[in-house]
Amino acid sequence: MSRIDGVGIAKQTALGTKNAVPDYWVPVESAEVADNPEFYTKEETVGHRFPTDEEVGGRFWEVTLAGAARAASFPRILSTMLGPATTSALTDPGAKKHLFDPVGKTLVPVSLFVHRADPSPKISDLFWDGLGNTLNMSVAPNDFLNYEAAVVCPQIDDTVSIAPSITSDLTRRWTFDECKVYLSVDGAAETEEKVQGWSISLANNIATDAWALGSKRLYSTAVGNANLDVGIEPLANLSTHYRRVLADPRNNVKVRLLAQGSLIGAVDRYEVEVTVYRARYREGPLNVSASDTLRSMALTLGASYDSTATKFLDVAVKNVVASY
Amino acid sequence: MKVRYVGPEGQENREIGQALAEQGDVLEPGGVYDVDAALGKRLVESSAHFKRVTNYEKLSVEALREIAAEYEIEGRGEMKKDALVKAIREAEA
Repeated sequence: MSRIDGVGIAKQTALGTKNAVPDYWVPVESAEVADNPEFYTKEETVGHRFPTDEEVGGRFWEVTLAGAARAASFPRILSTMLGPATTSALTDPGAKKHLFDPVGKTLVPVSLFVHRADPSPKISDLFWDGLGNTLNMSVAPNDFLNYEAAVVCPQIDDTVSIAPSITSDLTRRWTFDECKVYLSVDGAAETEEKVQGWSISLANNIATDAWALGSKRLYSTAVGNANLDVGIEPLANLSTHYRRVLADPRNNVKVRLLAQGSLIGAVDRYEVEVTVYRARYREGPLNVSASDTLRSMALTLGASYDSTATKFLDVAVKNVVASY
Repeated sequence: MKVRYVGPEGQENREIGQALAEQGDVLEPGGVYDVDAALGKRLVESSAHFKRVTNYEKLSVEALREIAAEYEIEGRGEMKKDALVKAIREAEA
């Protein structure tokens, strides 16, 4: 892709109804399109030793967008990963908070307009009936708050002939210096943890095996079980974190990332806040190495559903967009 | 052809910036841009945030009722022409 390419994301009113008019043209570092074809052939006694024709069977697309989260368009991406937002007004005029909590929600189907502008003629596809499959978010020093979102799209319209005029979403990104990580262990008060990096990896496990006779497109997709891992790399209290890796009974940890940007008006700020309500330390190796100074440790935590709070994960975005 | 931008702040369109030299690339929510028909058509077709600026006063009541149906404006069956035009403009904003 080059800078003149475009990826547009549009909310669909329902599964089965494509939307070729993007809500947002999202600046991405890359948009990988994996087309997952099923090829089949048959070994038959044909009188010679050469293969017979290979046929193409079912096909579905998984489009993976990677980039830095932008204040206006990121919530549209979140809506297909976590379901629709609950929007509430904040103090500053026009400022809104969009809270994404997947508990009890249905993922919002989206259409993705992928436009490659370099070749002549330009090549556009409209992938539709998309549902969010995996979402990775991460932030590390000297970088932006990044995401990688994979959307499973069972349908394609490769005859789209609209030559788009790309209206790029150039609203703010969040930077590493605006991010803080907080931990609350076994219900105790939250403390800020100095970390070298934070990441989450959410999977919706969209089922892509419902092939039926009469069509080369999936009969349906289904949202599967959710899994979530959290990665943090603390720079302090390493022995405390190490003991938690070994602890039995397990500690239940709430992890919160707060990315707080510039002011919207007088009071509210452009924000992304990701809260994982209940996670347990899984891995945290501390190795001896003659050539390295041990200053941080890479921890992985596995998340589970918090039955008391009735929460798993939520993502809150504060911006000036009225609704999604 | 006039198009109205109804999307959020912070969006930029290079082609509008090139077509309207003093305007620059940054789009104003609620702004009306007078561009050539080809660009205007592409803007409306490729972004949910661009709407055609139509002279609604020239349309018949039936045509206005159809447009009002697209915006799901309540009470459109009983509204008079002026009220319909006003409601549609508000829905587009």
